[in-house]
Amino acid sequence: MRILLVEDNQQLGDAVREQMLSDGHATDLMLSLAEARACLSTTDYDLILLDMMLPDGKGILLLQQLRQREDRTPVIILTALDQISDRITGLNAGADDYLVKPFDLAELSARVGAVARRYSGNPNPALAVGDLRIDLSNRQVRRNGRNIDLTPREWALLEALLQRLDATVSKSRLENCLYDFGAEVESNTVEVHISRLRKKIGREQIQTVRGIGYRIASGHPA
Amino acid sequence: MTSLQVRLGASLALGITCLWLIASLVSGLVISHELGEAADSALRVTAQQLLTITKQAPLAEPLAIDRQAPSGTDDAVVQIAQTDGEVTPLRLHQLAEISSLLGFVIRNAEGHVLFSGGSLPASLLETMPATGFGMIEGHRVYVESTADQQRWILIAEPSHHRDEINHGAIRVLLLILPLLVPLSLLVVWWLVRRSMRPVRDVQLQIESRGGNDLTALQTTEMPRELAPIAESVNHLLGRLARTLESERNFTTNSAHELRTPIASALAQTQRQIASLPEGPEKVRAGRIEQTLQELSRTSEKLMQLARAESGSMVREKADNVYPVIDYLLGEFKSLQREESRLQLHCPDEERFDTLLDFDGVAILLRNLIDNALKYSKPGTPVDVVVDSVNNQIRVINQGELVPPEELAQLKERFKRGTKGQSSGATGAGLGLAIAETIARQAGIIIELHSPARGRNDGFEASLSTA
Repeated sequence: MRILLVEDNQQLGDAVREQMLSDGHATDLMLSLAEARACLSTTDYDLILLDMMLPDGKGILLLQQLRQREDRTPVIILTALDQISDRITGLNAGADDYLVKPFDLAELSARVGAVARRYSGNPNPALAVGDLRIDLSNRQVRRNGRNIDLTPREWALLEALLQRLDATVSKSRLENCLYDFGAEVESNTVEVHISRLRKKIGREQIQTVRGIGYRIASGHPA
Repeated sequence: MTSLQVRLGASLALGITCLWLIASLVSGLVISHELGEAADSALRVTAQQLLTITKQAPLAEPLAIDRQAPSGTDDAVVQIAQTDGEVTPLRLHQLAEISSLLGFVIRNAEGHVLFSGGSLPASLLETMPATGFGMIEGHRVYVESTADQQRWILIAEPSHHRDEINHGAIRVLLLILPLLVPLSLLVVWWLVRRSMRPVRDVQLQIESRGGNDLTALQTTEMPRELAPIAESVNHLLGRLARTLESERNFTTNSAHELRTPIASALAQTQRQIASLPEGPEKVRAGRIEQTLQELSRTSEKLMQLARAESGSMVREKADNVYPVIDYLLGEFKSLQREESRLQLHCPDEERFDTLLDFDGVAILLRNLIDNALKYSKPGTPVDVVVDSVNNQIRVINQGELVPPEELAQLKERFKRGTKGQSSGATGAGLGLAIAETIARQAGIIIELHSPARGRNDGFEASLSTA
């Protein structure tokens, strides 16, 4: 997934970004509302991690603006405001989840995964695709009873495809999942990682839709 | 504590009584003086009349008039012959009446008694004092002579006659007192109570102010004497509101300022642990993480305590907070490790009414549930029962029995339970103290039971409204 992280504390932001990257999510860290708005105007994100108290205003304003223009991008609030009334206000404004600082990075990963699955239409973290058994919450893939080790980028690709099971995911969207802002993008990077993924989980699992992108079929009628 | 109303009423009643006594005394003196003057005047007139009546009587034969006039002859007339041949009629009963009250003696220039009447002390019959009024042997005496000084009259009235009249007047004034004192008390009490109504209004206004209502008192239509007090109270309320607001802001700001660096340190440590290979460095980093977790929990509890002590979580009116209970348990369940343990039971209506606001209920319950999860056997359920019939919440967990002496101390600050702590995690010993502080402010009673009610083991914390 491609994640926008809006957090004014650079050290915390770096650690969260690193965690998200290790989970296979391309993450852009922005330190203010203005920067976040600039990013949102140019890039489609799969999820936003939003701090509430930012130097140029309250994060909830950005959330309200997103929902007013019917942008349904999932938002998880990360904040030091711990009162239940703050949480209810945040959730009423359209947030999908609320995590109070300080939090466990593992907890954050689990919440991110849960929200992403909810938006993919399949909230169940355990998936069966062909002979693959995928546990999205624990980031495990098993085939014929054997664990398959995936790199973060391979996992990010697999997750992006599983989120839209049976649907074709464009190459540009997959590129979005792989790269942070500023990273060099080569034209065949997606192909290279798809190729490696196919070797690990089985070539037949990922179908190429020429000129459009890739898809994973559930094996059930779509 | 003294009552202003009672003090004012008693003082006024006492004042009125004293004033009445003084007024009675002064009235008595004035009456006595006026009556004396009137009686003297009457004595003088009587003396003059007697002199006039007897001026033509024969001087040679003394006439004694006494009150023993012949019976049945009250209207008989004493014919007193005058020198010109006419007679002066003097009704006997008039003389008898005069002589029953007064005593008199009429003498000629030589001092011979011409007429006498009534009873006079012997000394007055023998001597003739100087003209005018005087007091002799308990008698008011008046002496006067005719213009030619040929006849003298001494007339005397016993002073006890006058004393009786004076005493009668004073007695009437004093007799009113037993009636006047209770009546004045009643009137004073009613007037004072009526006058104190604005004070009671101010009192009610001040009483209705609390942590969530620090609005200024209404000073319109307030008596001029009370307005400065109300203004002072308003000034104080304003300062209190500003202090509370800054305290709340401080708690919020310190929450942000403290949580973010701890979150940053914790997140970086966890990233460090993730990147380190197995070995002593990873173990050390793990300890740092654990310390940071403890720091996080302690700072969290201290902030909750600060918020609880500020008393800002109590509302004016009780309301149903069940939605928050439901939300809070949902939040606990979303933490995957506790998913299967927490169980919410609501056998009747989904309702718990309390003065605590949502944040207060959340902090209170979160502390009780945290405790229940921490001190129960792993994997065992923690039951949260919302009993709308008795307006009660029970948080019940399984585990070892807590000794009664330990149970009694659990609500004290920094007291940790020693039994049944299965997870190995250490608490700050503040959870139940925070819960107790918050509950007390909203009139909620926290009762601790071990074993839990209806069970042989475990621990129960119940919340009920007073």
